[in-house]
Amino acid sequence: MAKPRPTAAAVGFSALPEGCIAHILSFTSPQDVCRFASVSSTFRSAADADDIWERFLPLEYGAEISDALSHIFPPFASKKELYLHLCRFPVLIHCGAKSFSLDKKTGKKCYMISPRELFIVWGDAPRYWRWTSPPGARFGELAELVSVCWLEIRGKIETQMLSPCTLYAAYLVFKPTTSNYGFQHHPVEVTVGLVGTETPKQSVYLDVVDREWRQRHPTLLRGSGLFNLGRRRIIDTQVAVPREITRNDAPAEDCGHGVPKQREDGWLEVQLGEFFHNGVDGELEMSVSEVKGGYWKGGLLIQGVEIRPKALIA
Amino acid sequence: MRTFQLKSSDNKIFKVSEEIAIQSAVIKNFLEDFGSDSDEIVIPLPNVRGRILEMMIEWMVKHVDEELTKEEVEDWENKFMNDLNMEVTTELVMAANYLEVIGLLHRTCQSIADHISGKSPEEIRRILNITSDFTPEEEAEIRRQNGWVLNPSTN
Repeated sequence: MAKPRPTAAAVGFSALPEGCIAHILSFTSPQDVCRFASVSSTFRSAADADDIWERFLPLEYGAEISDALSHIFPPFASKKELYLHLCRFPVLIHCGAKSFSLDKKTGKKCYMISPRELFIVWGDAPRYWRWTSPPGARFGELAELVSVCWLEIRGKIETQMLSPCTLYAAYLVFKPTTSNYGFQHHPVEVTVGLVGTETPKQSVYLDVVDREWRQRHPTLLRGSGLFNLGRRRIIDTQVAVPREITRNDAPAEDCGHGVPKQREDGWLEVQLGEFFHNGVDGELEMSVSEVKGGYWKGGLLIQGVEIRPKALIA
Repeated sequence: MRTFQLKSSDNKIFKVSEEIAIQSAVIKNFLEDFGSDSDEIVIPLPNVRGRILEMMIEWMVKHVDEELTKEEVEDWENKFMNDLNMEVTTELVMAANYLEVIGLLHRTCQSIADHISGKSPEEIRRILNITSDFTPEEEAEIRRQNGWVLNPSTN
């Protein structure tokens, strides 16, 4: 037992054992823990401890993670290295049906649903959809939209796979191919919500067109698609849409959504919606569809549907 | 119900019942090893000063009070934690760690974590009243290693 301290003196924080500091740090986020490393040497040593990083690692997918990482040599020197690896390099789970990774700042769980795991209407008809295996793809097979009139893609995930008390957003991750057409100026309908609940629909664009055009034409009436001859060249000449057919409701991209964004991995993503996981079990469904316009569209390569925590600060 | 006396480092004596005292795993073990029916047992706690021991006992009393609902205990605990300054909270962490009062240890650590979450190293040093023992070169190196925290686009 340690010697009694002078009674009046308050204990300084630096007198705390490293184990207590590690315990305090475990109530914060991975981002905080890294920041704390430069506070002092005791903090640094607590902030690098395997105990803390182990808590940020998921308990599930142990087998998948060790399989996926077994070829890495030398093996990870610390749990922190393993954590950072899982943030950067997603691991395939459920026999390649999904990928799993961690959100670097928060340590929360992120998934991507592979195209084969998605429900794609006409997905097995080669004249509408093709299955390809381009080099560098995350999954064994990617879905390439050749040409459809009825576009419908749905994905599902069990909410219990998600981190609780977390605001998630779902994204379609895709790329236009060289024969991309039919998406310019035409929004598609997207939803994210629990199966069996009323889910708000939103409109987003799967095409990167100039912002100015959309501001002038917030929402093109659906009917105009019927007269769409289906090639970008032709649509580009259709800029003179009469003002009367525009509506006043603000276009979605004005609040930062609704248009595809470039990802660090070279793909594009567009947000399908948000979902706050409050711990209730259920099935979360995400969808992308364009079935009302009656026009043809094609030339998209689908990498998957990603679901990850929404960054609260830009 | 047996009662015992806890003696702080500044020789203050607190009478507590067994039910309250055994929330401390250390005291529980002590009583199991040196159990006696006598009320005269005095357990010396040379690492905890009277003021802190008093607060710990206050916390332990609330947590065995069967007349309080879970919400009432939580409300009380939140107020209890909010009224503490960082020095006292730190002392409580130390004491809860020493006596292995797990609930109090979690709650006090959580409270400190809440105070330092999202803060810069400089702010944390100020809040916790500690000085850096790194050379400027060491600190720059640590910041470089954890650069992604400051600059999210780098890895």
